[in-house]
Amino acid sequence: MTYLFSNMKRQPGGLYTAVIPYNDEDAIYQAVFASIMEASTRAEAKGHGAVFDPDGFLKVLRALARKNSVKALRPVEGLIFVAAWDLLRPIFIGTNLNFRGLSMRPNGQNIETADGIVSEDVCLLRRQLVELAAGKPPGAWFPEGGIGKHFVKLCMQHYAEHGMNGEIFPERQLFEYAIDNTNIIRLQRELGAKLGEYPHSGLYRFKGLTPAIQDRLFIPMEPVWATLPDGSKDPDRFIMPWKSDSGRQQQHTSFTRGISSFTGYEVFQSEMVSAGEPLPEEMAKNIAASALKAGNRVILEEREERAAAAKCSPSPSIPLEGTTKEMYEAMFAYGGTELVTPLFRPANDDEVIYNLHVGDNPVLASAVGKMVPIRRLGDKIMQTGSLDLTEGMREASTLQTAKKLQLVRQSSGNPHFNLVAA
Amino acid sequence: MKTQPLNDAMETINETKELMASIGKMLTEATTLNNAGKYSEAITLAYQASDKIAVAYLLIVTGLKYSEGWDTYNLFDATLREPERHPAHLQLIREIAGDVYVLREANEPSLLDETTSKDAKQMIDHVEALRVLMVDIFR
Repeated sequence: MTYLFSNMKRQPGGLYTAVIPYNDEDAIYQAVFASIMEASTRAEAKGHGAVFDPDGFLKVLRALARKNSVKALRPVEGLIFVAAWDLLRPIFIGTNLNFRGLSMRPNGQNIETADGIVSEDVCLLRRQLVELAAGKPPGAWFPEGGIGKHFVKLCMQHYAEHGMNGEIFPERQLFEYAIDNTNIIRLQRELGAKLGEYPHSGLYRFKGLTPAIQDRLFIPMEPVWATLPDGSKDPDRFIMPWKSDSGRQQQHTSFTRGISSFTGYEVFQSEMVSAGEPLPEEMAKNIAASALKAGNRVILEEREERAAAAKCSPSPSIPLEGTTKEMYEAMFAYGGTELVTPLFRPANDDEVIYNLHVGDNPVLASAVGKMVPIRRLGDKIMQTGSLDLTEGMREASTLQTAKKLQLVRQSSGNPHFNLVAA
Repeated sequence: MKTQPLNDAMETINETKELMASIGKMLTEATTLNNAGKYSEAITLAYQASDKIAVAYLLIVTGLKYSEGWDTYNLFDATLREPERHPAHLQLIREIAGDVYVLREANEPSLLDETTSKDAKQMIDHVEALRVLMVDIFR
């Protein structure tokens, strides 16, 4: 784990800190990561009054360890938080999970799209923090504003310097938090995050399409798929765009495949953003419902395609219960990893679970809030937030420029458009 | 952690000395609770004492009064924003207030049922150190 020490940076008060991404080639790291991640997830579940599912957690670890094809980037990345007063005694104090997502930002009448991330479960471990405080040498001090804020900033800098999986440089981060979590609210406000508005709430959770969605007028929409750095279609991210005939209004809905860290099942993180002149609520509701219907159809069709392809493929011998290395070798030898061992497993083949982020847009929040329930985790009401990572990028020592994505018409076939780097 | 009921406290306590004395009593009571096995109550009382210290410092140093909705971090941040007021104590403020920050992050309210006697004592000791420092500064 020599890379751990090379990544540790000394802070003004004498504390060494680093965030380290999941490393699938280092068994010791994996063991440490699994242990810290499990403790973090358990603490997170307890803090929300939710139930921790050990089997579900195992699915999360497997998703972290696998790629969905030999060449493709891993769609989920874990970061581990490390701190030390003495480099010989590093303390692993927390983790978080990040999914490759899409950034959508209104700019006048248009919506700018770029790579983004969806982050969850930023969790600091109590015992490890206490140990860190107890071991503080005389004359040393913690980073100002607390450890949580410091590590969120380090994550921003990590993505600015290294990108997600080393190739995706996100412009914006989407996250959720419990509305009574004053720690997160404080530190995110200080970092300049946009937080959703309560009591409308800006975050909703539903399984499948509710009757209120299905009853709305349907406006046809086609998906716009994001692309991976090598130009291929990213199977885990797309947008359902809508633009008025006059061009003065836009309302886009993004869909990012993710995973629930508590259950291990697939959850789509969606976001709705509008730009231009405000739409009447009924119109916004029809567009929102249409985007969800169209997006849901795309996801279910893609599931069917995967299942059909898997049936047509010869059955390989994959040691699903084996070590990561054994599974990799078998899967890569077969060459059909995505088909045989999907990274994300739905809880129900016919139903898609959504977390829908609407943010601080009152018209959209009101429209969506009449069709789907707000998000609760355990006994907590959850809220959405977003953070501009370009701020972190400006602070980062190695500046990287986030790639702008454009909608580009394809010459033939569906989808009609692709999101490609400008 | 809510700063309940700080407004009431500021209305009734006008003298810094009285405030610091009342904080001292809170910490003594917290120690008594800890010794009686009421660890989460003890650590909660230590939190409230640290809130009061932050409010006192804020009031005396900046003249600002506590605003509804602020939590302890806002209060401590305010104390750290004007270090030039007490350059001789800057280092100690940074060290001790920073410790209290981190201990409060560690002992978040939803996990208080896991509090041990050692946790409560660690928190009480750090808040007491902060109180002693403030008494020295206000002298």
